[in-house]
Amino acid sequence: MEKNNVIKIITIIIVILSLVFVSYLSNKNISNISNKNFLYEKNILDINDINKLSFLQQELIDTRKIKLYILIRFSDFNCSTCYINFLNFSDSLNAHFSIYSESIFFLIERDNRDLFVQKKFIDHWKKRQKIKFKHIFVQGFNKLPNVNKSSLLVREKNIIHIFPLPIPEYEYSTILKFIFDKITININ
Amino acid sequence: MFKLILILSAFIFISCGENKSKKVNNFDILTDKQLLIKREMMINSENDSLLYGISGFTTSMDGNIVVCDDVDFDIKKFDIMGKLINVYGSRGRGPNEFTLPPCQIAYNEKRNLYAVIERTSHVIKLFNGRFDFVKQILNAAPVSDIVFDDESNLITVTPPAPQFFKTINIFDREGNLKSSFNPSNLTGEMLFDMCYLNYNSCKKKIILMYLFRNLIQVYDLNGKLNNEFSLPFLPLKAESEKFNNNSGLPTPVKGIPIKHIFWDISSDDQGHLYILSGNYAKNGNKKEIYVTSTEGKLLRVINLDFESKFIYVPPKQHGYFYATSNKETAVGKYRMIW
Repeated sequence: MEKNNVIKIITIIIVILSLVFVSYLSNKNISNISNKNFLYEKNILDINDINKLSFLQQELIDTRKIKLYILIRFSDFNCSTCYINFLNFSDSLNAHFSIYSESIFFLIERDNRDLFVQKKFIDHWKKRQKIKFKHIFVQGFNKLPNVNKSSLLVREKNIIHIFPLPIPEYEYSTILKFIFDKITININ
Repeated sequence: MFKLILILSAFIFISCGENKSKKVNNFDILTDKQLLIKREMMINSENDSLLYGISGFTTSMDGNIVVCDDVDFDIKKFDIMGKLINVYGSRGRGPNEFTLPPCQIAYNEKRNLYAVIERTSHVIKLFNGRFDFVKQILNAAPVSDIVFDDESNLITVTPPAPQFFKTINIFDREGNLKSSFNPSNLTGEMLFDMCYLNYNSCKKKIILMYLFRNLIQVYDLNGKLNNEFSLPFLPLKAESEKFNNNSGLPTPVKGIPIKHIFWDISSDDQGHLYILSGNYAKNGNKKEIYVTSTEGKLLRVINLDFESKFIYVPPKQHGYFYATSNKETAVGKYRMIW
């Protein structure tokens, strides 16, 4: 074998090995993001736990498409930090409404007002805050394990990760990236 | 010996009976002091989609009612008949917008100027009569209540943390800090020391009303405590739950009050204070208004047949007050029948 050919083969092997190594490193990086910042020590629900809620309308929801449930107990917004945190997050979601309209769903807890009054209130509130995603009224927040306040419920396959409001900013961006398919989450 | 025991037993029995009757009759002083009221006008009484979350209100010199709506992030102005005139502001970062929900408003008639604070913000925004942004004043800490005095000075109160900053700040017409002071006799528990503010133009006094303590304090404009009083039929302190500090960091919060002693305070230009009751009132939470002198003498009691979180006695409208109702989605104007 000529000397030149040997050098070429060695160069190709080095390039391939470098690519494999870079690919390994980047995968490791994603896995780190998911494990440390996103899933690490988060409370989770089984996807079927959502059925423990009483849905007050008979609209059909295609739950297979939903990636994010936003669970709202309006009285939690007496906490300004939680409210502004939620509104900022909601603004980020609104920008993607046209593509992800079926992936995000609001679950709003019934309060002790007349249903008509609460519906009117929520419709007005959504309009004022430019929230376009669909909502449904539910009862029985307390029946959901590990949920005791307004939260983002991020669905990944058959489990749901619970993020109670307010959410730290680094988690915000990770949730958004996940919902909008920018990163892959490897729960294993 | 037997006679002695008999006399002692009788004495103990009588003294127990007296104590018991004192407790039962705690509210008796209220019964002959009731002040009747009549509703004259109501904004959004039928849920007419005008108001969604009243967090504070005032009146302007022409009698218009100006309301902070913290759900809508705006200020709504109504005429004296309750008709919506205009809506100002929305959520945003511009000068005429609100980053956080607007929660309190004060009006200065001399300068036709409004001061608005946002929930948990240390920024006070000033607007002219047409609600154009004029300027902003920065307080050292988040402001929980604001009021103007007769000289157009702006007085603010913050949640007390005297080791870090002064609780009461007085800003002059230009927005410069003129003076500041800490209230006297604080408990050192931040939540229990939370108070609202009122300026009594008749007596030229600053009035502090504690939300979770049965305490009203009267200060002069130099921050000197003139007098303080409690209402004898209410407990001195609200019930609380222990605060579990899991952060490991030092905190001035020890207990979390779970009930209110008072909710709001206002005063008229004759020197009377109007104090809105909390959970311990005979007539129910948010349903009693105690009319007192600045010395603490109970003059009248107003029983409301609805729950109210905010009351306001407008200047130059003697015998009237405003109160929120329907879970802070309506404001009514009431005439007091003295």
